[in-house]
Amino acid sequence: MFNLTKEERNALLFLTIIGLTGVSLDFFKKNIPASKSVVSLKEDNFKINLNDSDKASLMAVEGVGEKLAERILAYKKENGDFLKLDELAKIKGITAQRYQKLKGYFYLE
Amino acid sequence: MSPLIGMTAAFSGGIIFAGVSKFSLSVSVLASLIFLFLAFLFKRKPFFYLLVLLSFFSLGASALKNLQFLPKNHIARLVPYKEEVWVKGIVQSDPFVKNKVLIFILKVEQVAIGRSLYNSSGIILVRDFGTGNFAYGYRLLLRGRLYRPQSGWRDFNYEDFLNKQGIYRILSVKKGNYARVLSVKKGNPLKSFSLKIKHAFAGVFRNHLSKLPAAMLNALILGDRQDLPQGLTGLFMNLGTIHVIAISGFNVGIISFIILVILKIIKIPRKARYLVTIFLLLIYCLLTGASPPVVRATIMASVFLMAYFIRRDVNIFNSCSLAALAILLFNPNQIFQISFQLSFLSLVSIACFFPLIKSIFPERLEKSNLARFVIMTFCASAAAWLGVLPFIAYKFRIFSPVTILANMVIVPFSALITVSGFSLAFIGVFFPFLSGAFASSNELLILLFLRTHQLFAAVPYAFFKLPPLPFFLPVLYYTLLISYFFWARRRKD
Repeated sequence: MFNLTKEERNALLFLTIIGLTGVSLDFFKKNIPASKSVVSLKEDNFKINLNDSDKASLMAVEGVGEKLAERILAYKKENGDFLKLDELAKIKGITAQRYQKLKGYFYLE
Repeated sequence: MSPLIGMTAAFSGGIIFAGVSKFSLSVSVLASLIFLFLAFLFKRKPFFYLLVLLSFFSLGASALKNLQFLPKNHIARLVPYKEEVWVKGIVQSDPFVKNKVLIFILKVEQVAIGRSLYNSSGIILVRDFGTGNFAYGYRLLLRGRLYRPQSGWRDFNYEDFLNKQGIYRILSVKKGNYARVLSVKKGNPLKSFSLKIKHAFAGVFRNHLSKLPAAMLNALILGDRQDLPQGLTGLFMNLGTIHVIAISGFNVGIISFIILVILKIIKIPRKARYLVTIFLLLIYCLLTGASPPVVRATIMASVFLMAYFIRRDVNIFNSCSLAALAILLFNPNQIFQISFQLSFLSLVSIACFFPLIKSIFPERLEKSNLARFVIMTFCASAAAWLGVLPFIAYKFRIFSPVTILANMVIVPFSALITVSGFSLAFIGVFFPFLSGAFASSNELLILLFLRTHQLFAAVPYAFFKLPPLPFFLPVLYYTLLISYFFWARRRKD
């Protein structure tokens, strides 16, 4: 009828599947509240728990090299778990400006 | 080699040369005129081509020197005073809020310092702590403190980054300071229209999606990455998949495809479809902020569509050169931007090495659709990786062994999200009663997309941080790579 190519038909089919999947998901979320947590995303999923991180995961953060990672771990060893994120600014090598850059990568638990 | 490729390479070389050497604008202009004159005198090859190339080289140098030459009334020539200044100008960008500060670019018209009023020119970055309700095209009168940008942290020079965009001063408007709208609708009508569409789409994402999926679609579809959590962009960077959240040729290709399908369904004739698509791609380019990758992709897509329109073959290197020349003519400083460099580097690498890598696989392996899909995605991913590997290692000090495999999965996935996200945007605006269903499935797709990233990141030795590399290493790598390319091509011929 519309003289669509194979790729164009696949795209429309995909959109139809998307719509139907969405309707099903909406139904599940409304009728089975527990399913909400399965299909939800939190920002913390992509941050590092500062109190639970090892040297490798600290070094994976942009701006944290080996020495800074060691200082963070040494601070945690000496003072116990971080209670607030702004304690990072007390560590040598983390200026106020650097803290603003780094804080978005961490959360506390 | 096509003349356009040579001219673009020469023009680019001239810009780079002007960027690292000191000479006045008049020298380069004179040189380009002399070479051009000599080219007309010596019409015999190869002198003619050589002189034309030298002329373009000098033109490139002149273009950069001209850009660096600021007019007498340019705001950058004003010494930053400790007292506050008054600035009148027109909002040139789409204002956005970051950390409770409204940020936008202002095209300056007048500046008042003390009792003196100056007609001025140039653009400044405005940081409004009062977060006024301003939009593109508003003529504003602001009072604030004018200062030079500070250099950033580590090896990122923020002042240099802003200077290359033509921004030499920042105006800080404190909360409670004078900030008034004098008039509206002073901007480009086409850009205003594009931004209205962008805000409509952003509104759909904000109203129907939770915070993180909305931020993802804002990045993938609209080119706004400020709401993405830093941890997430760090994850993409480490895996070598950061390009999927940057608007690029890939997104433009998908959007062209969607537009062409819709126009086909509503029975728009073939030739009119191509023209309408080119126009809508221009709107999309303006909507996403016209960054170099998007401008490149829009120009190349338009070239391809025009080629279909006039039934001519397209040479990818020619259209790539045309796109590069168009961008550099408008702003020569773009050649120093990482987004420009990576965009063209990856494209040229794919164009050069995709056929060579694909030829490794015997044709009998491509019998099934799945096998063909796997081979094609591997070849594209490997070809791009070959080209950008030393660049990423040198600039960002990251090496990611898992990147080829990750891209083979992530890139097609991001295509699905782009199609479904774009559909949500359209449906949200024109058929809002269907938004809920499409929003839920978009959330699920994005969840799976990000979980896939986490899976790859969890692979042992997925990425490494590297020490600073010496400059000769990437130079040596590219020399060997280019030599191999020409040798392999000659062998194939």
